[in-house]
Amino acid sequence: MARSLRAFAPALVALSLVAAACGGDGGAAGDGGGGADCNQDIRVGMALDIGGLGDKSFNDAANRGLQDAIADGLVCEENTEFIEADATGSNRDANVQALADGGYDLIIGVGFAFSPGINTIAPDYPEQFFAVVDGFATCGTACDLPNDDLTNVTDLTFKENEGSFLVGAAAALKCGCDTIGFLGGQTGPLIGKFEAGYVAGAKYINPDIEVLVEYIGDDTSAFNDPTKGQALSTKMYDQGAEIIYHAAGASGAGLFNAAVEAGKLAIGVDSDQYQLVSAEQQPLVLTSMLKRVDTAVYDVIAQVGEGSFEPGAQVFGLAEEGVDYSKSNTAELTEDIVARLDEIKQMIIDGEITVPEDPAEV
Amino acid sequence: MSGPRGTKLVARREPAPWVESLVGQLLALLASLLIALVAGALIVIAYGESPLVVYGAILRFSFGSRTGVGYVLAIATPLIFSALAVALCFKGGMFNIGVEGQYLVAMVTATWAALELDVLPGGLHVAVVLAFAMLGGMAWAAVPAILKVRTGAHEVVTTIMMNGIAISLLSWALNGPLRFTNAPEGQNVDLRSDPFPPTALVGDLGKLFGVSRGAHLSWLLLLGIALAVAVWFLIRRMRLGYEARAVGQAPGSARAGGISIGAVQIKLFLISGALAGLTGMQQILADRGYLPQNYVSQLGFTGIAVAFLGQNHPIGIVFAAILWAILARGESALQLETDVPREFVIILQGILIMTVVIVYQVTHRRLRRRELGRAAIGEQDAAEPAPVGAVG
Repeated sequence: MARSLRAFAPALVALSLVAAACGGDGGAAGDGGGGADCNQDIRVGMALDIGGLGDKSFNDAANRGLQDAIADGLVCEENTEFIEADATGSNRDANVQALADGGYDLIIGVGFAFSPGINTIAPDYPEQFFAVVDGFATCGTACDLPNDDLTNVTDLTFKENEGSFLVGAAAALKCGCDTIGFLGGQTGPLIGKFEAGYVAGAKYINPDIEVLVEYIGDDTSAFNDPTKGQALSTKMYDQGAEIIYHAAGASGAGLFNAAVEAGKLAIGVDSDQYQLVSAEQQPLVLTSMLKRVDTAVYDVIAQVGEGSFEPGAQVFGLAEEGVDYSKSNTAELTEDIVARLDEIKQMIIDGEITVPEDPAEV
Repeated sequence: MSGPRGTKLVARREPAPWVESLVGQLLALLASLLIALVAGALIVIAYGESPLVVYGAILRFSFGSRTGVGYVLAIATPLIFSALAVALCFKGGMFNIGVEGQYLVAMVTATWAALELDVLPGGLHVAVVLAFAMLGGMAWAAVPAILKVRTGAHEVVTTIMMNGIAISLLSWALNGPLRFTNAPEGQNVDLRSDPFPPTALVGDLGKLFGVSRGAHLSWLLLLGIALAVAVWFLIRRMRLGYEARAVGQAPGSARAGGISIGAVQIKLFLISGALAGLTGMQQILADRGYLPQNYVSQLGFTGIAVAFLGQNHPIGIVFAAILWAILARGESALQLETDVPREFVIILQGILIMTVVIVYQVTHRRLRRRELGRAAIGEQDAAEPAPVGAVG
C-alpha cells in the first residue's frame, strides 16, 4: 500500500504543476451587433496573447476595436475569428500561421511578442496583411529580424509614457501627498516607459514626491499573477503610498483587491478599468491610462477595408488620440483636476513638455 | 517493467521480459488514452458538441498537412529532452523538478557560447553550443545533487528553489551581459540577446519533407530520439543503469550489495541536468536564433507530465511527447474549428495523466506478480523508508 501511494504522489505533484502552468483564463468571443450591411470583402483574424479575452486589459481592448469595427460594418461578424495563445505563449507563431493558412485578409497579433514570428511569416503570404499591436515587426534587420521592407505588415505602437505622465500628474494632484506607488509587470524597457512617464508626471506637479516602484517579475508570467500583484500593492500601501498605478496586465486585478483592503485609490491601465472592475472596487479607480488599442485596431481594419493599408510603424500618441486618461470616476477625479490635466495634455501635444521614456532619465 | 532479468534459466518461447514490459506499457498507454478520450467525449457531449468533430479537428490540425506534422514534431522536440531528464532521475528514485531551472540556465550558457565562440567553424560551433547547454544544465543540477548526498536536503525542495534562482539569473543575463544592443534609438524592441551567428544554429529538417519553415522542425528532433535510445541503453545495459534501478527500487538491498548510493545519485543528477540543458535549444537555436525575454517557460514541468505519460520509459517518452504535442496543437484547432473552449485540451491532458497512473498501477501489479511468480529476488525491503545518506 505504502508503495502504491508513493507511486501516486509524484503524479499528483506533476498534475498540480501542469494545472498551475495552465493558469486560469478564458472567456468567450464577444458578440458585437453585426448589422446586415457589412463589408463582406474582408476577413479578420485576431491572435491574442497570454491571458486571452477576459483579461480586462490589453486583449479586451483589442477586442473592443474589433467589435466597434463589426458594429460599424467594416467587417462582418461571421468573418472574424479569435485565437488565444496557450498559457506559456508557445504557440503564438503557430496561431498566426494557422490564421494565415485560413486565408484571413488581416491578421492582428495582439502584443509585441508576435513581432519576430510575423516578421518571418508575413513574406510567405504577400496577399494578406498583418498588424502587430505594440510591435516591432517592421524594424527588420535593424532590429536583427530576418526581413526588411515588408509591404504587408504594420506595427501599431503607442506613446505610453505620455498617457502615464497624465495619470502620474493626476495622482499627485489628487492626493497632495508625499508618497505614491507604481506596480509594473515584467521588468524591461516596455514597462519602463510607463514608469518613466508616471514618475515624471507626478514630479511635474510635486517635485518632492516619492514614487515607490515594484515589479512583479522578470518573465512574461508577471502579467498573469494577480496574487503577487496584490501582495506587492499591499506592501506599497503599507509603506504609505496613497495611490498606486499599475502596468501589469492581468496581475493588476490584485492591485484593485489591495485597494479595497487598504481603502485607498488605484489607477488602471490600457482599458478604462473603472468600467471593468467590481462594484466594490469601482469607486477606488481614480482613472486609467488609456492605451487606445481599440482605436489602432479599428483604424487598421478600416485601412484594409478601404485598400489603404499603411505598412511600417504607425505611432499613436496623445496627438493621435492613441493614449489618453479616463474621466469615468467623476466622484474622485474632480473637474478642477480634469481641467488641469487637459491643460497639461495640450502642453504635451504642443511640445512644451517632453515626456521621458526611460526611468533613468526622470 | 524494471524487474530483475536473467532469472529464467529455462527460457522458452516466452518473450524477453523487456519486450513484455514494452508491449505491456504500450498497451497500458493505449488503454489509458482510450479511457481519457471517452471521458473527454463525455465532457464534449455535455458541452453540446460532437466528440467526433472535436477529435477530428485536433487530428486534422496535426496531421492534415506536412506542416502540421512538422509543428507537432517541433513541439515534441524539447519535451523529449525534459522528460528524459525527469525519467532518468526517477529511475534512481529521485524527483528532479529542477529541469525547469536547469534548462533556463543552459539557455544562458549556450547563448554565451553561441555569441562569443563564433570563431569556430559551422559544425563544430553548434556542437560546442550544445555542449555548453549540457554543461549549464549539469552545473545547475549539481547543486541539489550535492546537497542531497551531503546533507540529505530533499531534491524536490532544493530544485524548486533553484528554479526561482534560474529565472532571475536568466533575466539578469538578458538585462546585462547578453543584452541586445543594436536596436535603433527609440525603437521599441523586446528585451533579448544579440542574434546568433548562423554557425551556431541547428539546421532546418522540415524543408527536406516539405514542411513550412514556420514550424522550425530541426534535427534536434533526431538528437532527442538518439538520446532516448542512449538513455534506454544506459538504464538497461550499463552498470550505472543497473545501480540506478537498484537504488531507486530497493535502496536497502543496493547498499547491502555494495552500491554507493550517493555516487549513483550524483551521477544520475548530472546526466539528468545535461539532458535538461538541451530542452531550451529548440527555441533558441531553431525557432528564434537568439535568446528572447519572452522565452517559452514551463517546458521542465511539462516534461514531468510527459515522463509520466511515457511511464519513464525512454522510448515511451518519445511517443508521449508526440501525443502531448498533438494535444497542445489541438488548443489552436479547437478555437478555429469548434465552439469548445481551448481549456478542454488542458482538461484532457489532466485526465490522461490520471488514467495513465491508474492503469499503470494495475498492470504494474500484474507484471510484478508474474515476475515474483518466476521466483525473482525478494524486493520486500522496498517498503522500507529510503535512507538518503552520506555514502562515497
